[in-house]
Amino acid sequence: MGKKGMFLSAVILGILLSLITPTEEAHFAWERLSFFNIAFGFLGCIVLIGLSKALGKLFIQKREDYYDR
Amino acid sequence: MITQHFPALIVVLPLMVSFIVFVVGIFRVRWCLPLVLTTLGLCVYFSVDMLYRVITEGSPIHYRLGGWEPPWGIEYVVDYLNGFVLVGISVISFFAGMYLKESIRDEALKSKMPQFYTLFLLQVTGLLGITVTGDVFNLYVLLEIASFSAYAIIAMGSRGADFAAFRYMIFGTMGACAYLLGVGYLYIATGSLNMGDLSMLLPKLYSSKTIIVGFVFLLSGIGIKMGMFPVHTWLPDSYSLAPPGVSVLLAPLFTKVGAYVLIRVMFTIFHPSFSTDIYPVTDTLSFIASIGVLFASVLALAQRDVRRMLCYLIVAEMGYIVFGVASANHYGLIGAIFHIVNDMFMMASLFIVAGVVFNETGTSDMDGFKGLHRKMPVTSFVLLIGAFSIVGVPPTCGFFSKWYLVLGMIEAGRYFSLTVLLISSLINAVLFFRLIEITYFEVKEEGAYKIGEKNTPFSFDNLSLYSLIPMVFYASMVILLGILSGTIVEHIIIYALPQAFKG
Amino acid sequence: MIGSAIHPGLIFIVGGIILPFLRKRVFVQIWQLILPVIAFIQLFYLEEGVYGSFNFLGYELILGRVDRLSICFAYIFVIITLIGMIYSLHVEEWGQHSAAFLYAGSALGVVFAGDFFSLFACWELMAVSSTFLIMYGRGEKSLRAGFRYLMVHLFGGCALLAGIVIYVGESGSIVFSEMETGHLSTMLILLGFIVNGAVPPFHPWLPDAYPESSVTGGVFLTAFTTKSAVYVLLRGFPGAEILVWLGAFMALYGVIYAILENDLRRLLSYHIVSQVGFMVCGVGLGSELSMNGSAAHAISHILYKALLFMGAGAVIEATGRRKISELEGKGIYKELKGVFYLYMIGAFSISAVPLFNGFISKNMIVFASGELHRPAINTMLHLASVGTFLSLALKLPYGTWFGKRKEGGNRDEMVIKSLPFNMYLGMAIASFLCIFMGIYPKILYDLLPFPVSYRPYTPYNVLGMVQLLLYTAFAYFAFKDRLKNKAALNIDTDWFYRRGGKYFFDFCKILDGKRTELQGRIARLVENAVRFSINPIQTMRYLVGNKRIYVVPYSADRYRQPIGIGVMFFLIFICLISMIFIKRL
Repeated sequence: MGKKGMFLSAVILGILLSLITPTEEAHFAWERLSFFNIAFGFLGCIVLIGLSKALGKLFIQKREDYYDR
Repeated sequence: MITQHFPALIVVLPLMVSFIVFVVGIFRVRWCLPLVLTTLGLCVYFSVDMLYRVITEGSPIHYRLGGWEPPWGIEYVVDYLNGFVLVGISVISFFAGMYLKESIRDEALKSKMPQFYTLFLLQVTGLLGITVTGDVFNLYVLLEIASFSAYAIIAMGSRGADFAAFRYMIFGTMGACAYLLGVGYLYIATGSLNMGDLSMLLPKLYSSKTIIVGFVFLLSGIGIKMGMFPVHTWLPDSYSLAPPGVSVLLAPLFTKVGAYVLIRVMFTIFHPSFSTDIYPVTDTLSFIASIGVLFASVLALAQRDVRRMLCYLIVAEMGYIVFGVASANHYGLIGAIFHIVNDMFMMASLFIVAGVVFNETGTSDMDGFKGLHRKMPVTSFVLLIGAFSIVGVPPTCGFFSKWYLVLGMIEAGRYFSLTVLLISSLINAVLFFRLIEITYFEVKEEGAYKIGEKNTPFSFDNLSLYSLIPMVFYASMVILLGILSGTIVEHIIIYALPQAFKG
Repeated sequence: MIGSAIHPGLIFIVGGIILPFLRKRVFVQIWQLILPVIAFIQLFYLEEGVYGSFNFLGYELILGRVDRLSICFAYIFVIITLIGMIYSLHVEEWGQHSAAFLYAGSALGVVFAGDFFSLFACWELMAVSSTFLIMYGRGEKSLRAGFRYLMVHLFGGCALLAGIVIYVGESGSIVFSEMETGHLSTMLILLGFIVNGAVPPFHPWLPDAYPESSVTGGVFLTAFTTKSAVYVLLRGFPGAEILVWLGAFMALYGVIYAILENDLRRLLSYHIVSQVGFMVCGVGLGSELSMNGSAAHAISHILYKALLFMGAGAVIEATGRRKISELEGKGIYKELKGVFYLYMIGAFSISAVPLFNGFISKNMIVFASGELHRPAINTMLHLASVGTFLSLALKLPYGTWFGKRKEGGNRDEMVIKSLPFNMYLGMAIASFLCIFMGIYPKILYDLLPFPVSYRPYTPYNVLGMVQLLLYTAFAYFAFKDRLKNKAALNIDTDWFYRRGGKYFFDFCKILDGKRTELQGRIARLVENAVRFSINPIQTMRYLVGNKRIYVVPYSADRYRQPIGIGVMFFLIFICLISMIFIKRL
């Protein structure tokens, strides 16, 4: 598949999904966007990965024998 | 009818048999143990019968020695309070007597069994007598009987026991003298030695200096005997170095009898208001006890020797009882009285476990308990129950007496003591789970997840019945007392409270 | 008393106590399977009402309060016990099975308790029996972890007890029902509940202890402690606002730690924190839909979490490794295909993929947060769902079963054992239930405490979920190299008592040294006073000397003082007591 193929299929699938997803039952304003969940999923994943790595580097991750010293 | 004489018999019988056993031992050593057990068994019967009579008749039993009327004659009184304690003492001594023979492993000592039994029975005489008597001077006499036999029997223990017994003797004599002084002062002022009589004569004299000094000495003497901080220092050495079978008798009983005497002095002889309203005795006691409990708990943590650790726990438990006494209200006193008997059984079970392990492994150190679960499952289980009771896990009895104590302390507003109690419970938990961890779990190599191991067939610990039966009995009583706590409190303890605290 | 029935918890507890006495293995195994079946049958015929109430010291104890809420939790508890027992049939150590039955039985006791005393008793029994399950892991760290676990739970138990005592003292009633937050007593009770529910900052015991338990014991652990906490929260604090925020925070917190985590079961443990966060949030939101959601999600969670733990446990059992970093690139997919697929069913369930049971339960809570117009909560929960899928269905399985072949990483030194059939059977049953409930939600909805009008399979819901998950997956594959699986330790709020505990012990030793010092000082003071009067000049020179006390291990002989000191203390004691009467003397 390769990176390019993946990217392409992601975009095409995304367009298809946003077209068929209904938005009448949305509770909040931003949920009315038909591609809301796509964006949320993608960006959310990136945010989470970034956030955890940052926190990890900052103070959470330590050597394995931290408590045994 | 003979049953009328039970109050006296319960003291006289062991006294006489102690001498008889010595003589019998010269001829046929094998008859000693059955003789001792029969005597103690009869004492159990006496105490149970007396308690039963007190409950059904609803009023205390008064017995006059020699038919002399008080206040000149000596009177023995059995009411709800000491009836209950009496049953505890006699039952525990009976099973301790069973265990005694097994616990002596030293060959040199084995040949001295008759002497052991003599001292043992004298001890029991003293303890039972202290509880049943209604005369303060008679109490002193019996106290000394019990104490002296204790000094002697402790000295027969392991290395260092003789010195420990000597220390105990010095302290004990100081305490007994202080008590005697106190009795003396009371006698000078009132002319009476009878507890009931004193309770009627004293109230007019509450502001008299003589009585106050008498009270001070009484309290100090009792403080030593019950192992109150800071005069408890004789305790750890004596009970940890005594022969194992002896500490099973002494550790649960001696100090609790001291606590019983404390309750008698503060609430029967002296009216409760003396200690609560007129003078701030209970506040001071509560404060001293708090420090004592903390001190004892922390020091218990530092011990490696299991028997010493248990001795410090005794000091802490006595502190709890003083908390209950110092609360001086309905629930506090229920907790204190209930705890007296509960602690007897808890300590008995733990000390017998320690004694058995000491005999099997030759050491009192915690390492002797390593992996005990495999070789001695019954002993480990009894340890578990005793530990749960001290920490206060339902349905063992320790939980219930702590519950009442806590309720009493909240009602009396003693929040500092309450915090100390809770902290000390947490420390106790740490103590015992350390021990249980050593007993039940052996550490394996890193990261290895074993599916399971073959466990040894269920054996009875390589112990004879003489050791097993007392152990199992004590543990069952710990649980039974817990389950039946409601009944016991409602039918016995509530009536044991002084009038001021009822309802 | 309505009718007559046996408390299902009692069946387990008595069964657990009898178990050690069964001699043959075969009897033990039959016993393991029969007990849950009997309990299930008993449950089936149990009608709503109050059973087992009796008088204790003037208070009314209720052992069997049966209503819709307690029954639905009871059902899943019994079912998971059966599954867990099947999974652990091959374990020969009887202690584990006994402990598991006691644990399950006391959890049932908690669920049916109608008053505080019974609740507390069962609560403590749960703590103690689960500690044994942890210690049976028999790893180097198992004992310590179990010890810390016990300490934390005893602390929670103390808080609970203190709260109960004060509450009973104030209100005079011991009935366990809805309470208001804001009083000291109820806050303490809430604290006790929260500790068991692994709400931050009281959660670290979970990721600390669960990975150290035995492979089969872990299955039981995931089911009972935290879910019974959810039950008591539902019963006692529905609609409490603080729970909404705690829950949402928890959901995210767990997920963030999970993304960083490397040890298989620790990662799953952080997910327990996260999913329980959803449930806690649902309790706090307080609407019928959200509370139904919490109960439903608890039921789903028990099933799929057990499945996930069983899967991870199977991998650990088979390979002897427990960290992703050690398994990456070893390509164990070939040998452990079955485990992989069953695990993925669990992973899809937890991520709320349509057709699996997470979808029909988790979304009730998220939907409810939308209905109640809580945008912040809604976003947090959504984000947590993203993170769940990311770490559990993408990072973990990819790293464990697949992964890029590392240079020089040969598989030769890793032996893969074959797994006993019963482990697969247990996983299969759990998977079946996950899918079954997902396809046929009515069977779950009928159990829930409140009537259900929520319809999970609307195009909006399904497509929205598909969008969310699919694009999370795309993002993962795009960025997965950023997430390295390092062997590292993540510190959590337990730092406070793990480091702190050491300091406390050192402090105690110092205190003891100080005491001796003090005693010595007093003795010397007295001695000096005497000496001074005999020869003043020489004494002056003497007073200049100084001593050091350093901390050494306690030994009784070292600190034994001469008898005179004891006598001195006695005299001090007499003086102290005399002081009481000072105004009269």
